[in-house]
Amino acid sequence: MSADVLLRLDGISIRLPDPHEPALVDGVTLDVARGECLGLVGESGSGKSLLLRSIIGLVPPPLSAAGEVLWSDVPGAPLLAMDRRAARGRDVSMIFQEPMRSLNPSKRVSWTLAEPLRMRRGLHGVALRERIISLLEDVGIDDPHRIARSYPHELSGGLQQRVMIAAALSTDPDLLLCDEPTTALDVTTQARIIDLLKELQRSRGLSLVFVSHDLAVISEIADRVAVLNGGTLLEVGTAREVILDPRHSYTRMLVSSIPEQLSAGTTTDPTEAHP
Amino acid sequence: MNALLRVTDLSVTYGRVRRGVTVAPTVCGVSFELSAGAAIGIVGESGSGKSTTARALVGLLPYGGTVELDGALLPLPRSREQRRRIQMVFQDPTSSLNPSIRCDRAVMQVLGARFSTAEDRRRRAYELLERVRLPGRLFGAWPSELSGGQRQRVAIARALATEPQVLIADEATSALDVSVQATILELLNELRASTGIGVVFISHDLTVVRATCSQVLVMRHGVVVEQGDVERVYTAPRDEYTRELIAAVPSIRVLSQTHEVDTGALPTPPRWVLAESA
Repeated sequence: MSADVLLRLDGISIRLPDPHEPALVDGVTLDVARGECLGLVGESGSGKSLLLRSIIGLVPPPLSAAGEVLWSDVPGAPLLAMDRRAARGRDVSMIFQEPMRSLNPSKRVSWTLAEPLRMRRGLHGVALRERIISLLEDVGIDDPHRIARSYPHELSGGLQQRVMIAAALSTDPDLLLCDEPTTALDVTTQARIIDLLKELQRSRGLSLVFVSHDLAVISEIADRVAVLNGGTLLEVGTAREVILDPRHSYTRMLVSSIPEQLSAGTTTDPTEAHP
Repeated sequence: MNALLRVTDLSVTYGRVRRGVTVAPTVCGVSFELSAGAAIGIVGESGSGKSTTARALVGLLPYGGTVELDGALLPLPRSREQRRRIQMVFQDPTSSLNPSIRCDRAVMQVLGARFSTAEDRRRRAYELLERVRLPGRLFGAWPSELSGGQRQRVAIARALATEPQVLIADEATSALDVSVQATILELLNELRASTGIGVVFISHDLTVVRATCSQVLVMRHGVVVEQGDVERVYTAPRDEYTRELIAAVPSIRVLSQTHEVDTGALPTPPRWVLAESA
């Protein structure tokens, strides 16, 4: 349809080995445009994280994914099946909910950042060191030399997540997959990380797929929103359309559970809410 | 005005008291009153001292200042009977339940002192689990078989089993999905109305506090920077830090603000909604 599509998910299904079990993700078809942030919303168990992982072939072993992931290298290039091995860590990077779990606790930050640069970019010595410092500066770290020498446990949650974002950006990806990157953070830190991601989206022309259960977070960052429930896509549209004028009853329930909506007096109907 | 819980000048200092060494208190000068059936919120970032305050209130930490319940001063250490009257619910329901004890037994354990026969204990446990609206088929389930929201319901039932007068919810909904959070908040509101229990609700999210509480304390670096009616604090914050905290809360209001986002370069495929079966 549009020439600006960066990534197309075509009928992605994720199943357990047992064919009688229902699919965990059921035939999801979605486009991600170059430079946009697509918000993927759903509750725990909706399949949003699995769908995100399937993009770079990280679906955990007993599960199997079917369907096609198509990718357009440069603007205007046709959509071709993605070579996930090559794309992983080069064209597509991912950040996770708990930065502490993704960082090696026994290695300094500089080591974590050096690895992809050495492997994917072939940098060494001074050039490598300079690149590490500039990456840390890019993610809004004021004191990059000190942070580069630090161990992960010496950093706050917000700083750890910034380091993870720096590592994810080290290979200049076109697409950043974000799996609830702010859920484990305080509201104030969350707001700063969201601002950083928005800034990076704008300055680098980065595309984001941002997974969250929180529509309020999604509305701060996403250009478009896709709502997922029980592995099925329910609604896709611009953030404004989906959140201010939800059409599917499930989306309406999600919108009504946003805390600011609760205090506005529109309490959820207990018969409709989930246990 | 007879308050259910009256806290005056509460302070907590970590570390051993040594001669000639002054340790700055972690929390200092917290005062508030809570009446029966009411809820008061404590908001702040990590490290602001809100959980330390909660632990001191239940008597898990030594503190300075006074805590009065029903007009009577609570001493330290507290007796079993005094501990019974203030209960706490924690952030992570998985770590507050023993994974090798079924839900109904977990609640029955707490009832030992007041019900002599197992039959009575079981009946009371079922009542409590029903009150927190756990589906009946899950009464005998293992904690691992429950969702996060259901586990938090069991943790609340356990806290209610001692018939406390005050319930302290320390980030009780922070680990849950937003939609599940809404149902737990509703449960807490309903329990307040039906049992007259007072709730101290601790969170880093002011909008969540606004959804349940009438009063709020905003804490930073161990001191209360602002205190008052939640609507007043939310709509007209006096403190700079409170304003910062409110601005940080993600909000769908950004969508209705008039400034147009530059989407000129972005293709916007048409909206799509799955047809619902009636």
